[in-house]
Amino acid sequence: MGRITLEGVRKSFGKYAVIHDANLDIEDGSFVVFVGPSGCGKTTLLRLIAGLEDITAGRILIDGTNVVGVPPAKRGLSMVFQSYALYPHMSVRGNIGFGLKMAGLPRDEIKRRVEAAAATLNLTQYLDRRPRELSGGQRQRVAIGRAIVREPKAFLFDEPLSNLDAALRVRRR
Amino acid sequence: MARRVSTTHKLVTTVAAWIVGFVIFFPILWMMLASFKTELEAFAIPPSFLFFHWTTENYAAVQERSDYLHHAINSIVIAGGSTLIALLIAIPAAWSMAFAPTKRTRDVLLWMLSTKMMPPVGVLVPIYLLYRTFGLLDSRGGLIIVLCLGNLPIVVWMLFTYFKEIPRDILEAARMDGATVGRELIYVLTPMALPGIASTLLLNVILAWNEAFWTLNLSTSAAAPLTVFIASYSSPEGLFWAKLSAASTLAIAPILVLGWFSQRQLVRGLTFGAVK
Repeated sequence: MGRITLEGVRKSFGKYAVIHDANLDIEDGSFVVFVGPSGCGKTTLLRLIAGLEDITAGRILIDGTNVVGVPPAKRGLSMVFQSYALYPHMSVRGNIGFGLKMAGLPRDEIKRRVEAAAATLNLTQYLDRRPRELSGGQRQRVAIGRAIVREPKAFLFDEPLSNLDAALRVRRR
Repeated sequence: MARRVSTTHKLVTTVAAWIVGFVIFFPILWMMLASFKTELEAFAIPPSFLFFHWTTENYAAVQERSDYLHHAINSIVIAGGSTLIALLIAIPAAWSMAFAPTKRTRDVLLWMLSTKMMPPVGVLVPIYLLYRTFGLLDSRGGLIIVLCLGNLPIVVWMLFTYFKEIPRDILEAARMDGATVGRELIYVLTPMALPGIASTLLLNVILAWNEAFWTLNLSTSAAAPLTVFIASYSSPEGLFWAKLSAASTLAIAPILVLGWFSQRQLVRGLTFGAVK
């Protein structure tokens, strides 16, 4: 569950090649960090794994299955965006539960899971607020809650700490 | 956003804004007042502002003609119909321009807007002849077609700017959450774009309601909206100011009410594109 392998992955935007032949094997349960100067392709690589960009060449295997061409919805991954990308017209409860709603889970199961995730992240008193009524740290927790509640095979975090102040950042690390 | 503004500054700008607003509104106000005057008073020089003999005889005269309702219904059908059809065409068009742009997209948008720059009178004769051939003269369908096509560039452009406002990563987050394209549309895009669609709808209903050129030229009685109704009061016998005012007030009343209740949406619609 959650083993990701990249084989000969290449990505070009037109003539401009961003990823040149990436090979990576990530074991299930391991924790991998991409670091590098800006513009080197970290976010692109993450988006290729997520399925938000199309690959130019190569294979991406999740648990041994090639997912190239498979839409992001069906890859079983969760992503936390740098801007959190919360749904502004839904409450915190709606945001966290959206993925479960898309998966067709019954209403009480969704409620149970959302409340459990909110309890873990100290968000219970904010469940009925809208994203615009939350602070940066709270929004980040909602984004994380949205990702963990679906119990995906793997988590993808795109620069998750860059919007927080230094003290909070150290605590999260 | 927290500039220190002195109270005098606020007072001056408020008074100035009220004065400007009053000046702009004054012709309409005058017209409404004139509708309550007798025909003689309406012509009087110097004109009286508030202290005259108030009468409702003009409204009674207008009502006697008993076709206000017919014209009003035509206005509603034509304004509403052309806007809805324009929306049906424009939403997919604006979608594809905002989310799947190609090299040509900008050119298409500018070309579309350029068609609005041409004075309609330039194509009046060909369109009149076309309509006569197809039997579309004096028909509601015909007016709906011409108004819809005339306002389409504005509708597409407004929707395009609204759709562009929607941050791409929220839609991507929906995709990561397991939404198919259809569900992404229903659960995420449409709720977020709804204020924009509402503003566009309102603005276009108003534009279509006020459209006088095409409605006067392409209709006579059966499909005639309120614009024709007002024009019929300017007869060769002379201008009946008071009755004209009464008819005009009745003609703009529905749209004034609509505009009043939706003013926040309208202002948002007109200024939103300018901010980004």
